[in-house]
Amino acid sequence: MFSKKTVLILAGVLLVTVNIIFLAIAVKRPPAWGAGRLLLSFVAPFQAVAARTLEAARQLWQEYFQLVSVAQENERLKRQLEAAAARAHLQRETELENERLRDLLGFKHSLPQPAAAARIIAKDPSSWFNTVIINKGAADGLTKGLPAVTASGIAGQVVEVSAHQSKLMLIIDRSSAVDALVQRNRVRGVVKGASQEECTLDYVMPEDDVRPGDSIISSGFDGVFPKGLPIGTVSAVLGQGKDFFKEVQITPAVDFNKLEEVLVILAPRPSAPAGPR
Amino acid sequence: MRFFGYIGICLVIVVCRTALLPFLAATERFFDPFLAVVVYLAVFRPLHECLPLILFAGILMDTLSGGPFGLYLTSYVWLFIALSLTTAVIRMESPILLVVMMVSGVLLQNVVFIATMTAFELTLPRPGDMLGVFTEQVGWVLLVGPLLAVVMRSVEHRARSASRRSQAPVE
Repeated sequence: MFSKKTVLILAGVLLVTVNIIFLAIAVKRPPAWGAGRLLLSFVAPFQAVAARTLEAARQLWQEYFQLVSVAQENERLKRQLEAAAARAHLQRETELENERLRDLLGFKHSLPQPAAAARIIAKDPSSWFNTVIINKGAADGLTKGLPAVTASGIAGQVVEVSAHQSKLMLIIDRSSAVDALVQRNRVRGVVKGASQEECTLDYVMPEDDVRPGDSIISSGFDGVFPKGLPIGTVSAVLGQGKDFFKEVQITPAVDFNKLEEVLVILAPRPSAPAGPR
Repeated sequence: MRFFGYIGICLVIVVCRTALLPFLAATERFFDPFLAVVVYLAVFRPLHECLPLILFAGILMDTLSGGPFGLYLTSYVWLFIALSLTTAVIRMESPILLVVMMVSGVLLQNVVFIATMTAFELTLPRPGDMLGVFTEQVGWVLLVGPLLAVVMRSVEHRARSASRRSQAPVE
């Protein structure tokens, strides 16, 4: 009755028409059928997983970059912290130095003679001798034989002078000798170096009363050190030694392990003339 | 040029020995590093190269030390003579022998110091202190000496290679 071609055309037209009618109805009334919801429920978890994965990947990517920038910032902050710590350390050092110099300055003002503050720049290369090099020399008015002191007490004596540096023999050197008095009862003796931590008070008569804790001061009789400067404290009295005199050990007033600055008294004026005992 | 290098090394050693090591509690009684230099010179270098340097080092150290002038110079010269005579008979380039020579140097230096102090009636340290100083210095040599010996051999090896290269005919 109809040719095959005609049937195909009619079917096509019908399909288009049904489609248009379906679309027209769907536009006016959205479908509310259960299968749709079911499909939605089925697909949604996968969508959620996909979405979360994507989000996670995006976040990871962002965090990676953020982490890189945080790491960089961390590095920068660390450097800043180190610099701040170094500055704080320097400041603390300056404060301590300031304190020491204030002490030294106060002590300098209390001295009747002019004095030059000097910094210790090197120590004796040998373990057998106790000398130090200071950063003041002939150009600053230093000469051989001048006494060096700190706020705590006597430090030593200038033994060699160059233009801008000098060598200072500390009182703990075995070649050093300072005429001294026991402050309490004016017993005389000579303080000699014994080791890094102690000196001895030599030539003390057996009958002289010297006790642990006694303060030892300079007598001024040696013509080098002004009278009355602290030298140390008696740490032990060991009785009569091999050479008739009493053996007296002294802990120096100056902590030579921490000695950093000294005052060199430029024009010593001993209170008594020098002479043999 | 080499002498300038040696003088530079001397200054570095002196600065370390006087302004660095004594201010650290652990290295306060470090051995004299010039002893290692003297050992190196005596074992590896010709006489004309050694003498000026040994004199320079000795005078430099004596100038800085509070001891009688010439103590360091004496110890360096005698150590150099002793080692030169020994190396003339025995080949002493092995690291162990180099360390032994450094220990001998420490011993000789301390003997020179103590003998001088005794001879010139300077107040001697207590025997316990002397032993402590010597023991500590030997300890440092045993600790640092092997490394110094390796460095000495390496420096000498390089110096010889450089010398051979400079003497090779140019093609």
